[in-house]
Amino acid sequence: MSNTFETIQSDIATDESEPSVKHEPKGPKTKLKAPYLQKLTAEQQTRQFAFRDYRVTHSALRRVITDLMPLLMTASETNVICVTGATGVGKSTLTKVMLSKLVENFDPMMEADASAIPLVYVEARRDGNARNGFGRLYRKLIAQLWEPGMSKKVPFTIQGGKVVMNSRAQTTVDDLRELLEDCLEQRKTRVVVIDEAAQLARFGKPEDVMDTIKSLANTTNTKWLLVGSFDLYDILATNGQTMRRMALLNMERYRAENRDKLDDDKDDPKSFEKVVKLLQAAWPCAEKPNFAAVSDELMAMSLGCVGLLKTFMLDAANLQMRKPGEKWSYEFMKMAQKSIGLRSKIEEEILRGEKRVQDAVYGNSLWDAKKFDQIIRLMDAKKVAEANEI
Amino acid sequence: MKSERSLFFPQELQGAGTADVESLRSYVERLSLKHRLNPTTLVGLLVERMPLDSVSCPQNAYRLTQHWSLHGASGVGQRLAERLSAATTVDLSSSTLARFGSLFSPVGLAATRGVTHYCPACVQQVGDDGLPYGRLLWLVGGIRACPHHRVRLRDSTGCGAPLSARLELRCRPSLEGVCGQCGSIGFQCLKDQEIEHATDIEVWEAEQVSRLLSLSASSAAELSSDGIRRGLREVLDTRFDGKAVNASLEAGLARSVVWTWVEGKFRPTLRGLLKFCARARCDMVEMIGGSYVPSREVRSSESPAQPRGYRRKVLADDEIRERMREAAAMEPPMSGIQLAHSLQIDRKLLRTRFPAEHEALMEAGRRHSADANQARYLDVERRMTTAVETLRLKGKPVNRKSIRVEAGISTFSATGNARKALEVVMQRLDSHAEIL
Repeated sequence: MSNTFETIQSDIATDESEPSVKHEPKGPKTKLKAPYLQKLTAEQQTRQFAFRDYRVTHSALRRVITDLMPLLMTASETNVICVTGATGVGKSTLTKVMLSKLVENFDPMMEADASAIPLVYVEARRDGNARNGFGRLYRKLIAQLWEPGMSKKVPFTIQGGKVVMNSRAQTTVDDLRELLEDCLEQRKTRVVVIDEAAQLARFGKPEDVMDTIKSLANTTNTKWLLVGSFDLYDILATNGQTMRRMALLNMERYRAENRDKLDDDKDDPKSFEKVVKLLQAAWPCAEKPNFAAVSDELMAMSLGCVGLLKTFMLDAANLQMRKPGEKWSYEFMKMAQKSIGLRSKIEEEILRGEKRVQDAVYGNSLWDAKKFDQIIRLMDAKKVAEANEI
Repeated sequence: MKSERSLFFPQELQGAGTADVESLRSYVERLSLKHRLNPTTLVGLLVERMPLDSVSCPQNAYRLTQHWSLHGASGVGQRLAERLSAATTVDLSSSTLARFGSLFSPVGLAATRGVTHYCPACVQQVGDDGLPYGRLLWLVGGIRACPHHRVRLRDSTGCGAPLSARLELRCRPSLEGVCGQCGSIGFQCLKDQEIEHATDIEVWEAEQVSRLLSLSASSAAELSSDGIRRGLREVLDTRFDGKAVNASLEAGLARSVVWTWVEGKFRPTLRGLLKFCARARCDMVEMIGGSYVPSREVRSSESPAQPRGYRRKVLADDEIRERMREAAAMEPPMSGIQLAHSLQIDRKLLRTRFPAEHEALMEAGRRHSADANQARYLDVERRMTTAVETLRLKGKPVNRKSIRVEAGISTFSATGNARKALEVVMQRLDSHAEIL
């Protein structure tokens, strides 16, 4: 049975993993083919996969994790935490890094108790079936909780002081929910992570979806982390009751205007340049193009999203690998980047999404800088007065 | 491997470390319910993952859960408890009597293949899940009372709900403390039935076994056969002037039984030891530990231990004939075995020496059985006829299944009363006879 921990371990270990090789490279007599028909050798494929799986823990990612971990690891009433961000901003990388950190945190608990499954991770993928979304999500979660005999379940009801087994009845969504609640409680689950959580919007009315998630989090005393695109915000902002127990974190992209700050970590162009340099250092070909020299241009091209930059570099590297002698050509940069039409569509979507979530993001306070200074002064003055009285 | 998790999520063993410790059967049943599995399926999944390695252990989970003969000193129960402990991370060693297996004879140690018992007061106490649980004490051979409520245990086959309220077979739960026929928690279906008070000796026996069950794992591990023999000698010397035969006879045991225990020829049966201790007015747990400590007084008038008689019964033939005629005229007539037992004579003697009277007695028995069977058939037929009328009044379809469901009758056998009655009712329906 595959579970969250195995998935995480396999992801972390992918740097050393050998890709499957179906065709052996042919000898020197082989006629050269066009680049798109050129097959990669096993060694090239290994380098390619290694570059694909190479992950950079950049400052934007660290900032979100710094905010996120205390929310997940403490006993607070905020039990639904949502992480949104632009497409390609690095949400998937964030999820994987965060999961490995959580696994590290829960290690002692898992060592001490072989029945405990403190962390559960599923993807709410769209699979073409619009019906019974929650049923399928519950099944995925229950499978991650190592529940045996899923095909042999016998639902039961207790009502009017009687226990009645429903041996021939089909397992309903309610039955699955009750089983999931029991599993989460008995397996001592602390955090449930749902990736691609924007797909939850297709499970029903937004308020119903969030009510379900919220009640599950409350009854099982678990923290639910929903990671998804800006569409996720539509199902979050349904009613005040839901928002009360919720925190929203936005994974910011790098912006050219955030320049010349005193703190290097908050200087976006510098941070982006570091990312470019790191990716350049891990370049899978011997001839490494100097991307760092044009990091500002790359930031503009990738809209400040590390994921889009990575896609661009991966495509460029693929083209270089297929070239005889893996010779670099600047033409690859033009071929690998998104077309203007696609880029503007993505940009439009990102700007629209950012506008939607900007006021709801975690840390965005009601008080402006002036009001906040005033509050601090008042509190300090009160403290001094009390100290003097004593 | 760190990521390897237990097969089942854990469920706390109720009453662990106390006299009210939960039985393995009850644990399996509650765990199955929590996992929404049939107990047989759950045991099957367990055995599939962790096979029971002995030849004598049936791999077939159905056989394990058919009679639940797991609570005595048998290796099957012990191994199942071990594997379930590994699969749930819960220590289940105290859920069977296996930890006392080296002390007592396995004969009659725990109830096997029989009906289970429950205390009508204890099953009213429910846990966080809203359900009661079954105590190991109720499964100990010979225990007939609850030491807390001083009431007799009931067997779990009875159901007080009307037939129409009983569940279909597939809907019936398998849970200790829950009626298996109507599903009522704590046998509420029998709440109007009078609770029988237990006798002093029954309560004393239950108290002694309770104390034994409440021993911690370390204390139980310290008990040994040598300790029992030491304790027996001390009790014999103190209470019976060292005479084992006297002790046996007074306890209602065969004359050499206590001697065989003292000499280590056989391990004592728990029931035998209870009888012995009751007669000797000694604390059984202390005696097993190797010392004599007087127990509270048990009212001797209620003591079931009758000294075993070894004298030959002298009865005149005429007297036996007369008793046989009386037995045949009784309603219901006494069986040959019952009569022989009451006269304390060999049952074969009745057939060989008094063939005519014996035949008359047998004939009376056969006639009674036939009459009773006919009465049962008529009752079933009446209920089915009523069911047909009810179905018609409700405007529901009348067929074999609906009649059976409405009447609350299951037809297991092709030759049973229910099947015969159903055929008759269906024939009447087909020919539009007087049923309307």
